[in-house]
Amino acid sequence: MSTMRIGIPRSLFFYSYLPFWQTFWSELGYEVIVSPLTNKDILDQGIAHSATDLCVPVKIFHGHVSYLINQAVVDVLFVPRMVNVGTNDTFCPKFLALPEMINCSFSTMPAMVSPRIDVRGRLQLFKLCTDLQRQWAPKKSVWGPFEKAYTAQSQYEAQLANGLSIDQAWPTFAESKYTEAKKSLSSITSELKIAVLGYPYAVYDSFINGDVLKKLSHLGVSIVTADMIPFKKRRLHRLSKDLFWHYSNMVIQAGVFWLNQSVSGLIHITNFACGPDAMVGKMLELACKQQNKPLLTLTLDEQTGQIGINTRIEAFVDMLQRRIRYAHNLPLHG
Amino acid sequence: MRGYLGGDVGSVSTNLLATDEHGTIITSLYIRTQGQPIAAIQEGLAMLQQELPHDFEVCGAGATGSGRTLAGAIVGADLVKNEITAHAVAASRLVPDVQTVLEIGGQDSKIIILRDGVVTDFAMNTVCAAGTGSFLDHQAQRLNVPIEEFGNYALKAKNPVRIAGRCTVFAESDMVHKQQLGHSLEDIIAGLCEALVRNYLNNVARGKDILPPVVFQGGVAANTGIKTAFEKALKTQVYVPEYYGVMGAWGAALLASEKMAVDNNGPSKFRGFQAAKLDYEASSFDCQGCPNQCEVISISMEGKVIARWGDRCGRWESMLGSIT
Repeated sequence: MSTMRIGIPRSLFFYSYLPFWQTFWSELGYEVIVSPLTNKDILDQGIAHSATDLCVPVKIFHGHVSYLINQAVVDVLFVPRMVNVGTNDTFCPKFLALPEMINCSFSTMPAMVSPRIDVRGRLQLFKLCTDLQRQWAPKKSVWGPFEKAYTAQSQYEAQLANGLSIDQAWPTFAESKYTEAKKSLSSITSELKIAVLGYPYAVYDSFINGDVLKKLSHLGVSIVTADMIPFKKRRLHRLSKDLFWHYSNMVIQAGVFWLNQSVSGLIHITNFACGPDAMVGKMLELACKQQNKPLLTLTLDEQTGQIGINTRIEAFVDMLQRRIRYAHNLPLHG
Repeated sequence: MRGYLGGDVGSVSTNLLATDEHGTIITSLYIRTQGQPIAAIQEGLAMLQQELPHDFEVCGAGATGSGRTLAGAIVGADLVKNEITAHAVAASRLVPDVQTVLEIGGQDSKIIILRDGVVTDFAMNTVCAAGTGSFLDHQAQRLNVPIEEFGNYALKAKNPVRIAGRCTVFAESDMVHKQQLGHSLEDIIAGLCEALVRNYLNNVARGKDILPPVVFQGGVAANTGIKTAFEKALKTQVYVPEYYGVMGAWGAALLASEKMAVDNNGPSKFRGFQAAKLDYEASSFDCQGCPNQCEVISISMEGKVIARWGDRCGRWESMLGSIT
């Protein structure tokens, strides 16, 4: 029997948990096919295959699924139902309904693996993996693949916390061949430090966010993200009452954390029509106001023109540089 | 005579101006871009030259606005800057202690907060262009009122009607309905101005500390109805500068002069007024280098490519070397 091919779409949970699932499936003997970086074609296919009122990341997810079904022609599609990962919150409803949504949106579907990820701790994750192995790779053992996957994921998270970019920490995230080698995010030590916050699928999808991380580093900014804060440290900055949503809490906690670490300003990347972000945006706004730090909100939608994003980030960086110069009593302009 | 040029190329208007050595405006013009930025810039340059003394020497040129990259390539700008910085610089030159700048242009609206002459916060409209000049233009056309007269109509209103300001599509249907109920044109126009201001203050200016002095600039500042609606809502005096429509261009000129001073007043990259007569051409193609298929724009002058942009990876842009 030839090797089974499993497809993992590049959006939503992807940026947080790829190292685990890529390792796990390939150790179980599958050939893991990861859809390419988001591009115009994927966006168009996503729009064509999804309901109109969805947010762009979910549409993009549909586009990646379409690629895996129609172009890569995978045997199995991996669409987990992300519910809970051991924190006191859950994923957004669109994550909860993702397998059904995908099932309804495509007329021909390969087999779909959609485990319900509702795990508190390593033991529950192991049980879940055991179930997956029994169903999808009955001749293999779960022990080795699980150990390797778990280690890969822990290393990935530790490297992000050390300031590596996602493609340095896990090569599958790498950009296209024309992109210059990226410096590790923490290697730029500029006086101008900005926290770039948002859901991983907004911050790391360079197609839809107009390559904001690269643009900021070209402007000489040192960037910090939510992933650079070890989980336990971040959780010290919980609000008196958590929000319902997992990634929302992550963004707010990271915002409060970085505001206390003397960043010059905060950039919040949000997707148009994101319900939870209505709350997150306001909370960040209040936190910034308290510390007298400016906040820039970048709202992403289907537009591919980048001038709007460029103007906003250039103006933001300009403003922060002038603030610093003013504080040092240097000439303001030029 | 020596001086500086500033250009602000926006979606609706292209503004050019010249200042003397000290940054005082000598002459300015405001022309409609009409979807043809290159033609508008060239036309503007030619007009500007006619207005200026024959011995006018350009020591520096600055470009801003959403078409700033294009403008910079065509005229040979020494400085290309975003419009937030440009507007803030111009406003604080005019009103040194300004704390709030309200700017409403063709498709953008922004608020800039300054303290002690430094921008401390700003915001721009998000994906929606509700409450900008284009919307007013469109409604004026629909109501058959020249846009220049819009403000005067609003001031004559006795009882402004309430119009939904959250979304231009809803605003329009609300307005049609109010018309059909028999409200007067004046009351509807005033209602529209108030709706636009309400939308601006609740969206663009949400959460900002609007302190006086308040300067209101951009093309829409021509509309006294909007100015009055702002004053009513903010309960403070709103100052509209004489050159409200070209403040971005002025900021660009001021920034260019400062940049030249920092660079020890070296030669300007300005191509000269003859740029108005040169043959510029913009062409685009889809790069096939990777699945992104970026739309790459090439600008050529007299058949020679002088600028390229639009590629995410910088592959085409970097093939040119220095572009301006």
